[in-house]
Amino acid sequence: MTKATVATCSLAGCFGCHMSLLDIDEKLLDLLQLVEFDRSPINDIKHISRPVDVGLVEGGVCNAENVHVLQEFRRMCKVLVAVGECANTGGVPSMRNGVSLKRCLEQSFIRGLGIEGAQIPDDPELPLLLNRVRPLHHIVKVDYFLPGCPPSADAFWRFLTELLAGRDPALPRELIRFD
Amino acid sequence: MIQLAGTALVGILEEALDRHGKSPQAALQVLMSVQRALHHVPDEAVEYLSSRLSLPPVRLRGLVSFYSFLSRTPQGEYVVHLSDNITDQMRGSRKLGDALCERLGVRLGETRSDLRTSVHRTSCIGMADQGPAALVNYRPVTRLDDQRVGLIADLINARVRLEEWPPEFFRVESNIRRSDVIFRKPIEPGAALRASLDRGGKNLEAWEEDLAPTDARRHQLERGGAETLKEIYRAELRGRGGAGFHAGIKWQSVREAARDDRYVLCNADEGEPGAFKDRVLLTDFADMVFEGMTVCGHVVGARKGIVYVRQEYAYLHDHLQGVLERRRARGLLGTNILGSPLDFDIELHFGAGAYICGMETAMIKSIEGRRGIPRRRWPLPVHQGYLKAPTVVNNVETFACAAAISARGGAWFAGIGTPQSTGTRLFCLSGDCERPGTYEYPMGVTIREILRDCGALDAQGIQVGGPSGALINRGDFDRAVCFEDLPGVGAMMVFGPKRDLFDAITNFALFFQHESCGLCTPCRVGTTLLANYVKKFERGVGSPVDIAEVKHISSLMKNMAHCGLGQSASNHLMDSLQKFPHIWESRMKTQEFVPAFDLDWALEEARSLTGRTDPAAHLPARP
Repeated sequence: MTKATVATCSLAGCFGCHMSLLDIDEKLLDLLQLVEFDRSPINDIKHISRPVDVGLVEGGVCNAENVHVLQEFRRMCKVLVAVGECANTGGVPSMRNGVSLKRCLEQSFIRGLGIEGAQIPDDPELPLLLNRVRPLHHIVKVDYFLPGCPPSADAFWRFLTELLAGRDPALPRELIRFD
Repeated sequence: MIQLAGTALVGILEEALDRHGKSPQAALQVLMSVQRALHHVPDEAVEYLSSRLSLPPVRLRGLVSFYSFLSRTPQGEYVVHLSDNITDQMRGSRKLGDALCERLGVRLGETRSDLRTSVHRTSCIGMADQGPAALVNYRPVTRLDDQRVGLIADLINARVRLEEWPPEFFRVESNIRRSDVIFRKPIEPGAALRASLDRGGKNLEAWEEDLAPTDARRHQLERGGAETLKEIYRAELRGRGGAGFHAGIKWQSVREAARDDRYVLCNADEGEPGAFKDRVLLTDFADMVFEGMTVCGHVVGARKGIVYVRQEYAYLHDHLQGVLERRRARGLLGTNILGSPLDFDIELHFGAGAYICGMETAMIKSIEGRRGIPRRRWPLPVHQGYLKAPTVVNNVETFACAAAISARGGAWFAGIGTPQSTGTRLFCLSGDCERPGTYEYPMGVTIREILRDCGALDAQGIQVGGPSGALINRGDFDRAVCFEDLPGVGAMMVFGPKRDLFDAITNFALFFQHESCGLCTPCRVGTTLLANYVKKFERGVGSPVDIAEVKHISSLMKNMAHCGLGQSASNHLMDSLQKFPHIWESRMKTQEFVPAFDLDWALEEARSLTGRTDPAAHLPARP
């Protein structure tokens, strides 16, 4: 049986979703029977090498690089999944949306405590920040939204196994309630 | 500048309290009086009124933030609210509004620095047949054109008192273009009441001989009410507010309620854009409306009725009070009505700008002096309504019909219209028709007949029943307007062959976004998302992906929203997708998903902060 291919990445996120994915523990071995990982921080592959079946994207979109990565995922992934709160809504990073980018950067790099040689970084190596942090579906079409901060290991497992089995990966209530 | 602190303020506040009373229910009325006098509700006023009304300040602040005609910050001495309904827009209201702002030197939504004037846009003010219209200090000014707008600006700039403005500015026409059996010859004041009382088995002369209420007379009064209720049943009268519930069932529930304090509420919060029949009824047939309420009071055993009138119709206050006074003087209201043991009186209560208050449970809260947020409909208002007492809530037109039924009999009424939709119906025609105005037809009239009469046979589409109703196209013109086929309130906005209907649905989407009360997430978030999708298509970056999302959100709102507003707020979009797909398709420049905003623009702020111009400092619109 040919394995399904999966790519993952974290944009403006905390890698908590990836940690939760790894939290499926010994089921990781079962998962590896089902899928083969393409680009992912787990294996440190930097770019998606061929069209893959499933793309799992953690984190929202806060800068130009995030946009490029997300667009690459959309191009290469048959099914694109927004994983976790930040990918779904912008999450914690989007708390800066209530403040202008100018104030944000000035507070961090000019007015903050103990700053020497105050200057807003302008190195071309650094990706420019978007004026607002966006959830994935503002930038590309998203096929599935996996909620949670992070989604639980069981939610990951259930979602992936259902999806790969060709079923509707709707999650039961106990996997998406957080109170 | 108004002296806020000190005796001047206290004087104004005390005057408002004297006029409206100091009960918690008076809160909204008092605040609106303060708004009119001071052009805002200052924090000091809230503090002061809070102790006088025995309400926490936050309750009053909650009212100020909820109702759109109340404001915490100073508005101009002349506040202009431009009606922004699609029918106004179709007659150039946006350009006129811009011209007015320019002549006044004020930006839309702001107050001029000398506090002379502020200009706002507002939802339909009920003048769709004589727009473009505006409220100036809550008085309607109709038929705006370049000349009138220029004059208004001059009058405001010269600080001329409204009383000295040309009276024709404020002329509101009833425009009754067709009347039928109910409103062609309105019943004589008192006829319906007399008939209702007479059904008790004793003629009125006899009532009047002996004023002391004896058990026998009470019994007769009771029997009269029971008989009139039978007539209402016989007439199969259904509510004219939109839902079409049987009035008889409602009245009977209140009549049989265990409590003695019962209320009759008349819903004149005619907020549905394009509707204005309540305005016409209150202007020309107020007696019939009040009489219907009094008959209802007789049937259900209520002693008090309240008419909830939208603030946009507050200019009718003196007229309505006059009619009430006259009725009291003629023994048609008050104690011992027409010499019988029946006591019933009617109060007017005015809104302060909130479409949601047309929802009956929201209206009840508003009359109680609260934010107009709908509650769950169990218990029903007939069991626990105003002040938790059994309450009948009916539309203005329903009460007018009830009066006619009491006077002429249920069988007569049931003979008009169709089997399930008896009687006649008032229709408000506006938009692209030769003769906009009010038309009365027997229920079951076809759209085509109405269009022929108002001169709009070339119409491409009609919004029937306001934005929450149905958008129909030519294929529907032979359908009948009645509860069996096309229900809804009788507002019809006509769109001629040259109109771009996308303008209409944009207007409606923004309307619902503004009017959602914010209580439930499906409606609060849903109306905003839908408005955003409409704007996305307007910018030409919509795709089939977005259409699917619009449909998805719409079905969520229909199923999950707390009240009728959210459940019907996407009807116009669904109808337009089905009946006028080309207005969406012509704006669909792409089959692939494209962001609603320009990605490169989203980097502009960062570019200017860093001074970067290298290629990596830009994003292509598409990957």
